[in-house]
Amino acid sequence: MSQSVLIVEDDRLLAEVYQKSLRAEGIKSVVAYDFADAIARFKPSQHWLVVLDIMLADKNGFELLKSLRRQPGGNSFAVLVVSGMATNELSINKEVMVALNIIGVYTKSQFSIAQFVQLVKSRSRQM
Amino acid sequence: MLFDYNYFNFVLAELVGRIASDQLIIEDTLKPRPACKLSSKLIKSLSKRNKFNVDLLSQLVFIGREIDDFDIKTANLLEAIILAKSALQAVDIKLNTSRVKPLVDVIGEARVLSAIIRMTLDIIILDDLSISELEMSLRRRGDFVTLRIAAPKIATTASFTKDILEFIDKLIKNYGGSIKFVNSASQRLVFIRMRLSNQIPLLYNKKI
Repeated sequence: MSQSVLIVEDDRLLAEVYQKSLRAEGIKSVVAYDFADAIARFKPSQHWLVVLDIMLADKNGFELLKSLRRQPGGNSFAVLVVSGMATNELSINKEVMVALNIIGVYTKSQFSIAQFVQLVKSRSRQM
Repeated sequence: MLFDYNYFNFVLAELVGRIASDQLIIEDTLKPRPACKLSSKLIKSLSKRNKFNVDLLSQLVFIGREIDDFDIKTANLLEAIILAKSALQAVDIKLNTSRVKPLVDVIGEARVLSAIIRMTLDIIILDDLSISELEMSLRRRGDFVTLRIAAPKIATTASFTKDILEFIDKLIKNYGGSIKFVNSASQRLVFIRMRLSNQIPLLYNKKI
């Protein structure tokens, strides 16, 4: 199994909350704050899950996902979309979710840290 | 005044989502058996951020509610600055006005200008919650007066900050002004450039 979660989140405080919450459960993570940072930090052999924000400062999160998937070995990780946008704005249908290995699409204002940790934990057990 | 309601709604929705999200995290940590154990420092930062986000929200709501009644008028920029900075007691703001004496009348509406300056201060602080001091200075050059705000440098600008900035820029453009964020070698600088009141005929003729 690969070792860590890549958290792509331009909100530094929220990224810290995600990272510390996962660390408390023994789950390692790496944080990237924007598109370029995520490309530099992404290691296909190490990251089994990417927590993806959609509205990044430099580019869109989906563009980032496309770029990560294009990398050698970049089709093995799962994706958890946690965005400030409402889920109906994101409008990702089930076929696309399955095709892109997206395990969930959540709106930050309706997705508690408890749910976040539980979801990542349960997914890590399946890996 | 031309007002982009679509963009206003977008920024408002984004901001409300952020407030709700932070609130959810804070509430999670207050439960008897918290699902996430965060340090008190982190919780304090979240609470502080919520405070400034709520302030930002109140300014946005004020602008949205009043915007149709605003005409192009003239306002004393200095008064607008003093009004804006007096609301932010958590941060020590030094204001240098030595280059603009005696009068800084600009095109704009005093309450809107004050809200714009306060929103700008809010987003600077939201980008770096450790800020305890800010420096502001006014400078007059030609037909413009520029408010310069100097803050500590930050590594990256969040998308939310850019969205708020764009909204502020749209507002200021109605008065023929502009806002610019610049990262210098050691500082983060914000320039709010406003037209002096003698430019009103020009602004009306151009229909900016």
